[in-house]
Amino acid sequence: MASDVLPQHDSESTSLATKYQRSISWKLLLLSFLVLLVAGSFVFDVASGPAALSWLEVLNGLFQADAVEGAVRVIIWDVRLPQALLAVVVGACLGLAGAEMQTVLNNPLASPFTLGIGAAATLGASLVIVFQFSLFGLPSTIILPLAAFVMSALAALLILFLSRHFGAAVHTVVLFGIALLFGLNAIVGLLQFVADAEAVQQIVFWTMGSLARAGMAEVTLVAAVLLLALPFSMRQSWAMTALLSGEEQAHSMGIKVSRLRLMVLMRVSVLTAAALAFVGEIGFIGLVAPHIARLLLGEDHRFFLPGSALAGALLLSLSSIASKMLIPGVLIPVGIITALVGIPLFIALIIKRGRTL
Amino acid sequence: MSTLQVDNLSVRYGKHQVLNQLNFGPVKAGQLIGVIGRNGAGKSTLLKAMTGLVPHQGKVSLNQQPLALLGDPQRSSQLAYLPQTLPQPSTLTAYEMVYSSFRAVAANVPRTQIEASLEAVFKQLGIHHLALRRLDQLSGGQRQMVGLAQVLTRQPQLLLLDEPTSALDLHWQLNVLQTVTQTLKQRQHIGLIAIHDINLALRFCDQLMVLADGKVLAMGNSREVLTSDLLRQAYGVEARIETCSQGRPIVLCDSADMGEHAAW
Repeated sequence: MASDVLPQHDSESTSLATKYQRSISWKLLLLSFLVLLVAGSFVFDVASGPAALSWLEVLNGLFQADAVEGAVRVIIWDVRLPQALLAVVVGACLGLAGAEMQTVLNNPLASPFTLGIGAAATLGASLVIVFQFSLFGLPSTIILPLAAFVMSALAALLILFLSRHFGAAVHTVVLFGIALLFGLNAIVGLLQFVADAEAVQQIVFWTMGSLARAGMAEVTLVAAVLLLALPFSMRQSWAMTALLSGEEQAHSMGIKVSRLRLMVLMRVSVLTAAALAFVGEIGFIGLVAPHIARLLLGEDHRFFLPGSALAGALLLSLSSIASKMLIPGVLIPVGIITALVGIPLFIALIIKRGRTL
Repeated sequence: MSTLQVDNLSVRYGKHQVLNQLNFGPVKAGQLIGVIGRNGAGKSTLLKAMTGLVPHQGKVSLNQQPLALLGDPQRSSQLAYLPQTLPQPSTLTAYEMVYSSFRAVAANVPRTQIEASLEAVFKQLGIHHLALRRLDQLSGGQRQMVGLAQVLTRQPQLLLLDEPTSALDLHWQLNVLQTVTQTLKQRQHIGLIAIHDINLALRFCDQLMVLADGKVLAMGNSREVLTSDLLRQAYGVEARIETCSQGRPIVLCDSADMGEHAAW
């Protein structure tokens, strides 16, 4: 031990504060770089599609809408732009939700998808689709996300309850999540069995995950949820970073850990429900994005949280591009792309964690 | 100048009474109290109860003010607790971890003041070179030193340390206890340390509190309080208290009693 704690005097000339401030500047630079990547991917997403528009047409369509043909304008403004924007905001919501979940559950394998919260949102949506619930005369466009939120919040609370009462070890929480996932999928299967053909089609749309039905109204709603949630997340960023010291330490610092967990899981439910309400189940973004952010920026949550949101936005935006380009002329549901990319990464994470468990 | 008084402190886990009407104090400023006793005697529970981590009865007063009446921010600014468990490995650097815990407790303290405090503590503990390394790249002992930096930086009036040297080698055990005692004396704060190594406790603590079955078996000046009878009663061992060549008392254990004191 003595040898590995012995000081190396070469690095002591610069004060720790200066080095720390330098590392913060570096992280801000990396965050800016991520913003640029997301912007680049977004523009490429708008430019790609079966209509084979040239870059000039796309840029003209975006910045001088009157200078292009009506069909081009419709393709860019009514089809591609909402989809590309939705990919960015949904990805950001899922990335942020995954990062917060991994911190408060102290579990790198936690995410809205792996712990069944996405499946719970699907169940909520399926119940509304099949039974046509109405509440105070509200339209289904509001009832459906609301039901998705209520179910995902219940699933988050169930995970919290189970992990607190039966152990919060990495594998325990993930196994609870898997059990929940299977259980909810079975109920959704049962709903599909009793539903009519149209309802089944809508449920299938949910479970595949697609950006194709996006409109600017949906984009605005999801973006609003993200912009409302982010300041609350950032406000708790010190507490979440301090929570990494351990629960007892955090308690002794005056952090109300149970309240923090509850607030975060509620926020995760809102973010997940808002993100999935209009695109259906999109897996693995919430799991993988925080790991990318952690690798680039570490776990100071002032950088980790926005980094995870940006990584999520980038991943889903890239997946959206891939969904259009893999088979020319065919738009593959983006949930299939994220699953195909995410599953190998998930397995890699399990193997990596397995060595340290 | 801090003072500490504990009155009728009791903790029960289900049917098991872990601490039973514990009384001690007033403890004077600048003193380090060593809490010793067998596994399960209630050492960690005492520190947790004083921190407010476990439900308890009784009163813990710092400077004549009951801690239970303070709000969370006020209490956490006056006391700091280092748990027995080591800070978990993460991609945070040691500096980030200590900085963020300071920030979480004291949101309004100027950045420069926090940075100066961190610089001083990292240097004092001799872990300046570890500051910008990630916790998942540090050994258990190194992480324990980071945990200690985390509580010392906050300059609490009451410092509660649960086995702070459990993962450290001899060099760092002495380093930590020297730093803690010097800090307490300089700042006139009070410390309680749960510790298994009786000879370290004898050397560095001003007073020793011997716990057994949730009660204070004996408490007093560390040079005087220990006797062979007390060690037999508290630990179930045959031991002698000798004086070393420098005039300090040391405990030499001869054998463990396999009879009535053997069971937990």
